[in-house]
Amino acid sequence: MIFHEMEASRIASGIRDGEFTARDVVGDCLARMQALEPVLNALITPLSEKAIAKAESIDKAVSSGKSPGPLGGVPVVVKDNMCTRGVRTTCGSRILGDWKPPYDATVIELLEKAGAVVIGKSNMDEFAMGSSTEHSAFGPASNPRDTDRVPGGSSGGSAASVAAGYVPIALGSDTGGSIRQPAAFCGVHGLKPTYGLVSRWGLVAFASSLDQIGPFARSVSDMALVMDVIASYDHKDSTCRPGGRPVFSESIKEPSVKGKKVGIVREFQNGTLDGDIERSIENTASMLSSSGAEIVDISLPESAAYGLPCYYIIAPAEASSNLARFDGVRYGLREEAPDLISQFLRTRSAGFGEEVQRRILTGTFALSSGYYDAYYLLALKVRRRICVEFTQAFEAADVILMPATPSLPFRKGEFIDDPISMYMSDVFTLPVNLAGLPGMTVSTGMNASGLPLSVQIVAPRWADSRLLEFAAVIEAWAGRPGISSGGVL
Amino acid sequence: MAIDEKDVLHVARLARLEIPPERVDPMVRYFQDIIEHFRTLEKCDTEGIDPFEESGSHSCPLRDDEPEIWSYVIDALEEAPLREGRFFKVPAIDGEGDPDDLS
Amino acid sequence: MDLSFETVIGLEVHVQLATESKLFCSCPTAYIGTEPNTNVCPACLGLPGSLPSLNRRALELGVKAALALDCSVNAMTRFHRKNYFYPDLPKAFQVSQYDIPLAVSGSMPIFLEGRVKNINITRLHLEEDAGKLVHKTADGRLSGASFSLVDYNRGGVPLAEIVSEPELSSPEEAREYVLTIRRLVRYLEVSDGDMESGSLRVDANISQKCSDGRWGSRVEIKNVNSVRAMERALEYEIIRQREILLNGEEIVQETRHWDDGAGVTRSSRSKEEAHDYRYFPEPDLPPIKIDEELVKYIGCSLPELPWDRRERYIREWGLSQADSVSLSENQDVALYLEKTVAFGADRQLAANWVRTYILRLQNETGVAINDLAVGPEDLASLLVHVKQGSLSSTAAKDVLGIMFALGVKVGAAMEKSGISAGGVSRDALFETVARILEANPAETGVIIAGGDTAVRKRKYLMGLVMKEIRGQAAGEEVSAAFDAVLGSIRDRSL
Repeated sequence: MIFHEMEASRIASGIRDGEFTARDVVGDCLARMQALEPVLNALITPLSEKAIAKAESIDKAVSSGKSPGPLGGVPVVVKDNMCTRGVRTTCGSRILGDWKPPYDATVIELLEKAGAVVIGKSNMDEFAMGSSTEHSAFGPASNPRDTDRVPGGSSGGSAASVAAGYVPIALGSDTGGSIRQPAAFCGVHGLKPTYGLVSRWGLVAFASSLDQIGPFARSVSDMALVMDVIASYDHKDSTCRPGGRPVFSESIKEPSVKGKKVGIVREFQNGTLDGDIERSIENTASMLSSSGAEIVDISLPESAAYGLPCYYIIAPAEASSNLARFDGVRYGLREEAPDLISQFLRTRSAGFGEEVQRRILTGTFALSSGYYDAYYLLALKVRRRICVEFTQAFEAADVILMPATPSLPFRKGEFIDDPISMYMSDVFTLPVNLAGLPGMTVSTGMNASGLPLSVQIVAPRWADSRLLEFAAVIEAWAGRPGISSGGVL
Repeated sequence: MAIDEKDVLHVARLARLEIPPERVDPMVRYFQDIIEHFRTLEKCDTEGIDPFEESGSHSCPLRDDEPEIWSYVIDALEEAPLREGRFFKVPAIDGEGDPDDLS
Repeated sequence: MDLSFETVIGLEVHVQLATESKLFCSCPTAYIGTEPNTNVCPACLGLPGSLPSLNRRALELGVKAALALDCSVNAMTRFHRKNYFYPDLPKAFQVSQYDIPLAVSGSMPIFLEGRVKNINITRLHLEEDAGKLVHKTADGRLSGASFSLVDYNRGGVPLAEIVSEPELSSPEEAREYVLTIRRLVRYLEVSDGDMESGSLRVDANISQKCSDGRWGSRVEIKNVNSVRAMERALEYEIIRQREILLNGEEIVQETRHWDDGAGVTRSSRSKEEAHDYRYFPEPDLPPIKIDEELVKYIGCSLPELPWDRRERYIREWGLSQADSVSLSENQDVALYLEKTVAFGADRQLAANWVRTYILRLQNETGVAINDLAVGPEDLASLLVHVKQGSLSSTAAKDVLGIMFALGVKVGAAMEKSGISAGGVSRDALFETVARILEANPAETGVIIAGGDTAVRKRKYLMGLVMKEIRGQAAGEEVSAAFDAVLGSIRDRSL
């Protein structure tokens, strides 16, 4: 059986029912990974031995009649900014050295408890700052749909792992589009949940008020399956919303968009949008309309005009503070120095890559004396306006339909020396983070040249299950994304 | 407002980063470009906006005052680049930082 | 040119809150005498990915102190990050409060030389403590360090910072202010308030107003580790600043460190750059809505405050200021006293005895006042005897000693000491007085004649009587008996 093409739900039920073993599934996925990794570089740390041991323990549990959990035996990949006890966690940076966190992120605990088998930690732009996974201290990752192109970023390795068939599901983190943009580039589904739905405990922070963990998958039902595992209140994250969570797998059982209003945003389509993506939006809208939804025009002028600068003040400002702790004292890299200030300067200058340093500097600037009001505080005010604008938009629409990215996956090196143009890649995704909303990239197939197409759907806060319901309808029409070896196999 | 080399180097000092001489010019240009982008925000009407009004947010949860010992302290200590016994170790402090606070 | 100066002092007092766990994580707060880096976890080590979770008790203790200081507690408060690099600060920022502190606008009375002065409190806010650095040279000496060792056990311990308005006008007032805060936080059990061990720390801001209209820049003094050190540092700084102003020069606005050994303050800002803490709202902690009911509850359950109690002791009980202060600063002592009175003891008598004997017993034995073998009820029944005159003070002191040593009640203790309740009868007392007077005719004659030495002679004879009756009568009683017997002798001789 070709397990690496299977859905997670199918794998889990097959193992649970004794149809096949976790060891077989994990073995097949590891073989797939080992064959493609030299080209894709999707993982920073493969965990083959640990994965096999875990698979065997799952099989043992099954044969002794114990439940292996909802993800029992399902191979997964997690982005390398989630802490794994005793397993190197790098954030794609040199500065963490060989840091082995002495604790697990909450999502890791939840995955482990659900029986998932972590087969690797995925490549990423350093500290999640980037849109191409080229800003990794461990070399760039490639897009499995076209290996000359970037997989997007920052969770490029996770997206590529799912698209290439290493795993049916992976976790990424999304601060300004870092799940949805690589999902679009790699042709898989990617969900950024409502801020506060999933615990951030153990997620190495980039921008605390924007970061959120979410899944990649090749099917909406797998998305729901993993969301049911990771969306859980955690007292260790004070921004995690107290209370229960919906059962996501229930919300997609009989998906319907009948009578729902779908808002189409016009402002973003200002001529820079790729024609194929624009057509994908239109086609999706007509399909939804013919499925009984009502299409309405909505307007998000301020998000369109100010989202990008607003984000590029707030995120670096928070990052400058979050990344100040990397000083060579308690963990990670330390550069030899005769005195303390030299240790700080040398360690940080040697450990952080160029893009990270750029953002630390702009963030420091935006918070510094004399500039706080002009930049940081102003950006916070604009952020409030963007939130209000979305709230008003959701008075007219149940979900918003818009592009995930303005362009198809770009070629490696295309923007590497032009950071600000690279930032534009997140123009459709980052307003969603600023407003704390759930947003999802839904794969809608390929264009004529075999590059992935997608749409982004956005819902009000805590309406994540509504997104999955819409995605299920879109998937039923566009088909589930398959896997791709980028021509290697 | 023009950002110059002096400003960028000051910010770098605050952030404890060293910019090598050949990177200073590109960094100054980057600052000028990105600040140009930032300044588009000045066109946004933010009159009367309370930036901290958070209608969607819950109040900060409170934890009960029950002490717990963490079991993995040794693992954390073993990650220290420099250590002496159970202490983390750092080179001499030379007028660095803010030794006054809280001390 | 005659110039006069006015001293203006404002204080920032950091108080470690008496919680079991740290402000933002569950690690125990004990750090004194603890192996380095034992009470630490991902959060207080600042490990990547860790997040803060706020201790309810710390918030409640903060509210308690704030209400006692007559502050308004904000309905919504939040934390900020104060960013600076230092190895004892594991996240490279301190989570503190900035624009919306827990509480603002309070006041606290201080008593100095018999008068009351109200000092306004600007704010009270919560923040986390930093770790501790030990400086060492390669050969192990502590000065001229070549490296430093870091211990994060103290990192994250909750602090309340209480900021006064610049309304203190002398080192003595500053001292009384700090002592009053210390008594308060101990009384409320908000903190152990121990300055030597660092659970209460003070930074002082001091400036001079000159009679020619100049107002010298404010200087912040740090590193004062005792009340005495603070007073000395302020006294030094007053002289230093006045000299500068007298020379027509300007005071540099700066932070100065007190060097206790040398007895001087030293400028500690050799750095080229001013500090830029880049405060911004802590995104990992949502704003905290302070429950109105909780504030009301804490307000209602506040005990009578030391200064209110002191006032009451002075006004209603007629106690001296010294007695009032020492009896009101500790809640347990005050309650012991008040219970003793409730059990029937005279207020003044009870105050004297608690202050003189009970506190001494407590100090000598190290037993907390609530656990002393002699409780308020026992003391009260002893003092009733004293008040009635059936037991002299001297005898009562012996009885108290026996009660305490053997853990017995008044009756048993009196029996043990051979003193029976009721003491000597009136007749027996008169008889003894008459006998003593007769046995000492010369002295008796002087007393009756009222000569220069009459008072002394009388005292001497009274002493003999007391000795005879083994102190089993009150002084006034004996004195009354003397008057009566002397009267009858006088009558007879006429």
